[in-house]
Amino acid sequence: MASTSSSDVFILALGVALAALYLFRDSLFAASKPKVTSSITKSLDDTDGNPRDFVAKMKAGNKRLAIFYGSQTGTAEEYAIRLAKEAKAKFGLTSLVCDPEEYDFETLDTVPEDCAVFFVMATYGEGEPTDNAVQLMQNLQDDAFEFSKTGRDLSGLKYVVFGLGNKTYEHYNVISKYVDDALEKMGAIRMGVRGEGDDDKSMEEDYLEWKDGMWEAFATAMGVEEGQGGDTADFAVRELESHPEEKVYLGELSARALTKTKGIHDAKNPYPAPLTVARELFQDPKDRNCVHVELNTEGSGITYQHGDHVGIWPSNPELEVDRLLLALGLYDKKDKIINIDSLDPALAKVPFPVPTTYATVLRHYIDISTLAGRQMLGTFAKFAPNPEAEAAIKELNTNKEVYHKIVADGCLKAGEVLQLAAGNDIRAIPTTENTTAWPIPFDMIVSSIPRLQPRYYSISSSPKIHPNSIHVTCVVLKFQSVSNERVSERWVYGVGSNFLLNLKYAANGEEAPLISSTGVANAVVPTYAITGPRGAYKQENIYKAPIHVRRSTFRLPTNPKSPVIMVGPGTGVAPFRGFVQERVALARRSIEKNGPDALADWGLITLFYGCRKSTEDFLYKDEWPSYASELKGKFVMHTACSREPPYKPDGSKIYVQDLIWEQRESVADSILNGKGYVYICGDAKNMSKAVEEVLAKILGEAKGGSAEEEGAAEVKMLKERSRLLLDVWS
Amino acid sequence: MSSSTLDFNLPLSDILRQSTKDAHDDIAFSPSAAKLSNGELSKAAYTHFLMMLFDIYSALEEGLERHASHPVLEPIINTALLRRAPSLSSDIAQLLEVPELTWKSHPLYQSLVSSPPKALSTYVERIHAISNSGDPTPLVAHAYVRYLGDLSGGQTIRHSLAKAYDLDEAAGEGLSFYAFKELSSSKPASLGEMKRIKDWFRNGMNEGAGDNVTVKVAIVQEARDVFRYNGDLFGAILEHPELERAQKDLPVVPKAQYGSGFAVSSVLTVITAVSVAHFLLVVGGYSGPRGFAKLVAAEQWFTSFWSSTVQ
Repeated sequence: MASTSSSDVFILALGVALAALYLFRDSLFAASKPKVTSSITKSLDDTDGNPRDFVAKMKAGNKRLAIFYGSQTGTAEEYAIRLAKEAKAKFGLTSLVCDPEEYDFETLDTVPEDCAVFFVMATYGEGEPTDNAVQLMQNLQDDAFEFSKTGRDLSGLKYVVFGLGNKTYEHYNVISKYVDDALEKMGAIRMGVRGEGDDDKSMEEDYLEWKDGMWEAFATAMGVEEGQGGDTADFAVRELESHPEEKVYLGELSARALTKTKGIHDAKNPYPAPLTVARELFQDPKDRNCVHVELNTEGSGITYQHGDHVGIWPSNPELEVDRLLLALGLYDKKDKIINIDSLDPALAKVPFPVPTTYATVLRHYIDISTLAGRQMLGTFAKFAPNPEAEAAIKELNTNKEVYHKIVADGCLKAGEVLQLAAGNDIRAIPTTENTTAWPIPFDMIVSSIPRLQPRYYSISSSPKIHPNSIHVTCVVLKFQSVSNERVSERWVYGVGSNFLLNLKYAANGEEAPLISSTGVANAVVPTYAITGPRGAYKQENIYKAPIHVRRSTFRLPTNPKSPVIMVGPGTGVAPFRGFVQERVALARRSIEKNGPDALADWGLITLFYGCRKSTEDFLYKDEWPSYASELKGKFVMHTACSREPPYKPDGSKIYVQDLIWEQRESVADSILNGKGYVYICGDAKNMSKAVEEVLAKILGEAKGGSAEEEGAAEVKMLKERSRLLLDVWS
Repeated sequence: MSSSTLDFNLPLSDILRQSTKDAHDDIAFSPSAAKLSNGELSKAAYTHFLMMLFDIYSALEEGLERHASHPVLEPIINTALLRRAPSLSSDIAQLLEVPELTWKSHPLYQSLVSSPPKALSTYVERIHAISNSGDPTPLVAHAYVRYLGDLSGGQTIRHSLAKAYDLDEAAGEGLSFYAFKELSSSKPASLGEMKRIKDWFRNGMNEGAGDNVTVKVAIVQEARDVFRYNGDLFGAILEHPELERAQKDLPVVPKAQYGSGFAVSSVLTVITAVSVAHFLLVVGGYSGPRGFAKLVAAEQWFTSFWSSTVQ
């Protein structure tokens, strides 16, 4: 250092700075999100005049509604956007959704006659406007403020008001009332009644209850008719003749994945984690599977805590991809490169990265495996290939009962409904010959079918034992649909769990078995494109699954002296394997530091587990004894096997809640005297309820009272102090 | 309000409300609070502030957990709901765009560790002192001031912060500090539910303190101090002119890396070089949220390059 002269250092530093600039030049461009603004929208936004003049902007963009939102936390903004969407869907009217802070109100008196202004106004604190509405409120209420032409006269201006407030506060919804009063005073005409939503309880219901009447009054006042909107597109789909191949998204979930640039991994940039272990957990996987998968996160920067969830990003099964491509008549050009633009980015964003291809959208980006919604069938009906098909799909769209019976109970996906309505055999392998093509514009598909979401699993390991590995315990979902006169019973497969099952077969080089024993023709375990876009999820014999971690509040108390009661039958045991491992890691450290008696003052860790048979589906059966021995008697497990003896005296099955009752003395002691924590994981509907009931009974009796009073109060108190935590699903 | 006019027979939450109203308003309407709530702090300064909060909550929550079964504290213990340190950690990582495991080695935090502002060390040391004393009851005051603030004013600034720092509000990224779960479920709490949480907390304080005037006096006295600690902490935000918005988000040069032993001229040279680099980076278009990450990365790289070259 001393030998380096100042000027050398300067030049060195300059060189470093320039090098940094050069180095980051590439990633700067790569990291910038692919911004798609359609040329149409762009030209609309480029008004030459005053950018704070909303009327000029409305005129330039051909918008007939301006929707202002006074929003502090974003809720009012959400409702403003919803109103804009509904105006478009119902009447084909487009809106300018405006932050009032960004506009001036002098021109409020020049809103054209065929236009209207909406105010979606939240009331804050002690009856105050939100920060972004302060100016607006002043202009409306201050008699000294004059509009551009008419002074204080707004006669003829048509408006709608919806207020958001909170009944637990005084001055409920006063801001929307002030807006209403001021406008009325100046001669403006309100359409419909003023809506008021209570953010404390019933915002959604309040809104739903209000909006129909409002839209009716709106239609009359504006002279518009419902049904004019249905075909207004949200997106414009263009086929590209040429595009650099490396810039086309083929299932990559982020820009970084496409450009292979480094960045933190989260829900926006999932990490393709290599599967290091994938094995069957059931001792006897006759017709049920439960997969244990270990995902290696080394070097990814991903960290997790016990009790967190891992999101796994599946693709759709190939059979369904083909089916929908064929039903849409897109099979022959499935690999055509397409770009999609939002026609109104404020209302609808393109939900996945583009440019891409037709097949990629169906395989990776939208949830074509989900039940076909009733509403989308109405959209599809307009593009039926023949009158019979049109009549068939219209019936499913308009008749709720028929829809429920045929589509919902029959578990039909969008592709299957199209086939069924056109009279195709939905049980045959779909081909061009046996599948009728519906000329549904692809933008309608993008608008109608939701984005394919990650599937979340409770992580079944502890980072203290497995710092670089996330374990997943996943029972494979497969069930039979209810048969009806048009669709006989079929196997229905869960997307995420069968994706994992596919990965497990591939990772171990196993052959996926045919399901023939059930007598259903052509029914096989669905196959997935598990090698990923451009083979990114396969490296030699290692397969990868895109993942991210979602934080949870399902955590052990830090202090091991607190007793812990865990209730997790079936795969509900997953997070508790992580919990127990967490305590094992702590036990090892404590014993190393403080000797063999280090766990003497630890609280009892009790696990209530349930399965069908100890020889069939007992998860991690061989692991529990070793955990118990490391925890020196502080870990106790009670297992209810519902389909093997012992049964109850009346012959009925024994479940976890029965075992909890049997252990009532120690349970009550852990909770009441030990100030312990209770955790429940698994089925929300039956199990979790039954467990809460038995807890109330135990605690009520222990306190010398009843389940209904003392017991219920105790359970409520436990919940309010987060000493009873649930991780449940329905 | 002086304590002589306070009626210590009232429930603790009422006394606290009366006795801290002025202190609360002083902070709520301070210039620093305005800067924070309007999103006028640079992203680096805001991150720096969250880092200070992280140290405070870590100390507080460690203390609360240690004394969770103390009869005065027990009724306000709800770790899964209240605990803020993990969400602060996640938000800081998100703002710095680094993995959560590594933000503590970031120069911005390292400088905080090596030379913490007086306001921060006083605050943290006070919490440790209470936790390690025989009587942890004043921790109630610390929990009261912070958590109820987060459940009230914190909610009103969430939206403007999201806009200022280009955070995805719907996804809640970088904003988990402002998100709470419901009292009786793991669903996210709405504003109405937050009011119920505050009521629950006040009831818990009243239950814990009961009629014990000694306990009430100790907590009320501590609460005034806690407001002062927080006021000073806000003041500390403005102590770093280099963290102001005008500086285009260039993070502070960590002092530790350029400690004594270097001639002043060398240090000046380094500063000049950094300024030149800063100028080039800004001119090169490295501003805005993406640019922030680039700058942090560039700066880190520059720092490591520097230290490895000059050894």
